[in-house]
Amino acid sequence: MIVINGKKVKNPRNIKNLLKLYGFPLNVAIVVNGKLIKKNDWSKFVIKDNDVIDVLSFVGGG
Amino acid sequence: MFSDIIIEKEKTYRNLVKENRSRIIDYSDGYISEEDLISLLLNTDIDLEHLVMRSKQITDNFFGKAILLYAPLYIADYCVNGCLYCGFSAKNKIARERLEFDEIDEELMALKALNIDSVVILTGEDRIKSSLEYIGRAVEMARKYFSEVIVEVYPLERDEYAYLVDKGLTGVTLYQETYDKELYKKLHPFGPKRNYKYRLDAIERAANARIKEVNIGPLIGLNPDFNFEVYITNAHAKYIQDKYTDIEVSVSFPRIQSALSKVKSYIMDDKTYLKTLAVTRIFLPRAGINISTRETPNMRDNLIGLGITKMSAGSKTSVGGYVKKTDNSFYEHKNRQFDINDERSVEEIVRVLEKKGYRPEFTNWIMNQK
Amino acid sequence: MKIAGKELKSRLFIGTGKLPTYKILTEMINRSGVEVITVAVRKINPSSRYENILDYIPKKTTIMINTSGSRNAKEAVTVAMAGAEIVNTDWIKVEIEADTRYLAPDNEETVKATIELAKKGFKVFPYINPDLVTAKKLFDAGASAVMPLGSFIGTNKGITCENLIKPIIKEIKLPVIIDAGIGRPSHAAMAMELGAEAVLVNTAIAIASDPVAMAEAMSMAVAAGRKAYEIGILHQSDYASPSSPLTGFLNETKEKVRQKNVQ
Repeated sequence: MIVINGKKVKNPRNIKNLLKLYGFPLNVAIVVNGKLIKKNDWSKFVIKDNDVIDVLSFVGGG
Repeated sequence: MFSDIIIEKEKTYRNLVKENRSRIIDYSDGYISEEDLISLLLNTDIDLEHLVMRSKQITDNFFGKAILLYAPLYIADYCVNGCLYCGFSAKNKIARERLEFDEIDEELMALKALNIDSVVILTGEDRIKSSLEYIGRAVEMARKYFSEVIVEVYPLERDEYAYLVDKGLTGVTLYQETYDKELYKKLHPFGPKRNYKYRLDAIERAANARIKEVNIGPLIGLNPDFNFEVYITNAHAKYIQDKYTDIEVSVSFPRIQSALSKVKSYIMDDKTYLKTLAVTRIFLPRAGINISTRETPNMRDNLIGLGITKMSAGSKTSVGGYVKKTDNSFYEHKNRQFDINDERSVEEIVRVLEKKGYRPEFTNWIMNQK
Repeated sequence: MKIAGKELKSRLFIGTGKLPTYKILTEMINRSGVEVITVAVRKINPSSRYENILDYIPKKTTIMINTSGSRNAKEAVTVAMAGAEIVNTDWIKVEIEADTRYLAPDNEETVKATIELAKKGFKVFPYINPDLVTAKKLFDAGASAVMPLGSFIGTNKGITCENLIKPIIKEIKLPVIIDAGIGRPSHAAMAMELGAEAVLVNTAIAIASDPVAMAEAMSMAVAAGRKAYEIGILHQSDYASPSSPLTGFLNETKEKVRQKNVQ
């Protein structure tokens, strides 16, 4: 199990799966345990159990 | 500390009441002074429509067309105090509960499923049954799931607040109940809560421990002098804003509604309540104004866009309550700290907001930054 | 005009905070001709029916990432880096506030963040309290523009810092984009008359009864103000004066002489 944006979910193992399984668009930033994972590194990144992931995108702002 | 200067504030108030002079206050632009605020409160003949229009203007300008939604989670209702007005008073012979950590986890997840991202964790006052460590662990768990974790628990020492901040705490809510020292003593016949000054200065101890936001307010209905409570609350909020310029300050004016109270309560009518929120908005343009589910759906809906900036939604005011139990009557008989008048779900509140042309906001912070 | 290497036709930038809904953005951007908008960075929830702002922003629009919510340079840099992963943009508006009463920007932290972000190759648009010294430091730091506030966010008071902004426009060789406090089209026009390259408007549009119409009005005002600036704003005078008050006598003498000769 891992935590994505505060929700405890099954470990999707990699970022591509994470986006597909949980319905996120591609235009997001992924932060794992406080560290930003660049898009170029998504394909090699392995998600470990108990990882805390923030999926960020844009909202209205000045 | 605010406890040092509250006496001058009281004097200012009492002098203006005695003076009984009617002043025209121009609140159409810029800031109003504390004397102006008191004058507005004392003026019983005020043009409420005009006042509320200004309140709306300021709120829209500074907060935009969005309202933050949050929910409370009571994790324990053990209490050693004897507050005469509260459902959890030690004198009330009710079955007490305290959630175990796995139960807290379940409740947090159930709350998360409602899209809530800001949670207020509450306990009664019992340093043994609801110890600092117990609260700290709950905060730590909540911070994994929620961007905003606020506690509404007994007042703590500065290093105790620092301990909770370290666990991920972002805010503290603490209501003074009444700022009237004599009345306060009468309403709290026994227990540590009897210490007026300790409670009053707790918010500053939290601020010194680098908390990000604080929520304060009186419990309207304990003191027949509503204006006093409203004025001192505003003065308290301004004092904290000025001393800790980077902390977000919110105020709330919960009104006593029910018979759970063992003490004579004074009902503030709706018109006065609306006036209270509007003058507060004018005096404190950038403070949050918070409205709970003590208020009816009709009142809450109408307040959207007039001055409030956050609302609780889908609330349960007894211990736990979010995890669906097979037997619903189990929940119906649980002890509540106060009666909820707005039982609508988060989804229903969202629809109301959208109908009124406001966006529901769930997340205050950017990401789980420590 | 060219800002940070980009050719832009519109000198109105729009902030998307405080909006009641994101779906009006498409019409707003198309009708006003706006080419640059700002957005903030937050966690999103895809499972809900809540709007994703990106769905309403035309692909050709330049997105400027706003770091608001950051309280220091370190946080601002973190937000900028995350934002740049969301879509392919390198325009960052550095907004760092440590005062919740006025939302006054922290000039010092803004300079620090600018230095770091410029080094990383971002086009940095720092939002500051108008200060010539800070503006110079931002120029040295490699900022792409300077964004002094007109008045504090949400106050709609217009360009109350005119005398602090004018020296920045005159002395600092960076585009000046006046940001915050523009409450009416006349404020936007005035900003352009002062010589600003562009303005950023958020609150006045977002909370207007018809945000799309207000965006159009602002756009027209910006164009009007800029046109007048380019041809030369006339000097304001307290006195009415004939066309050549000082040297008119020369012409008068010539005419008198001519008339004498005719007689």
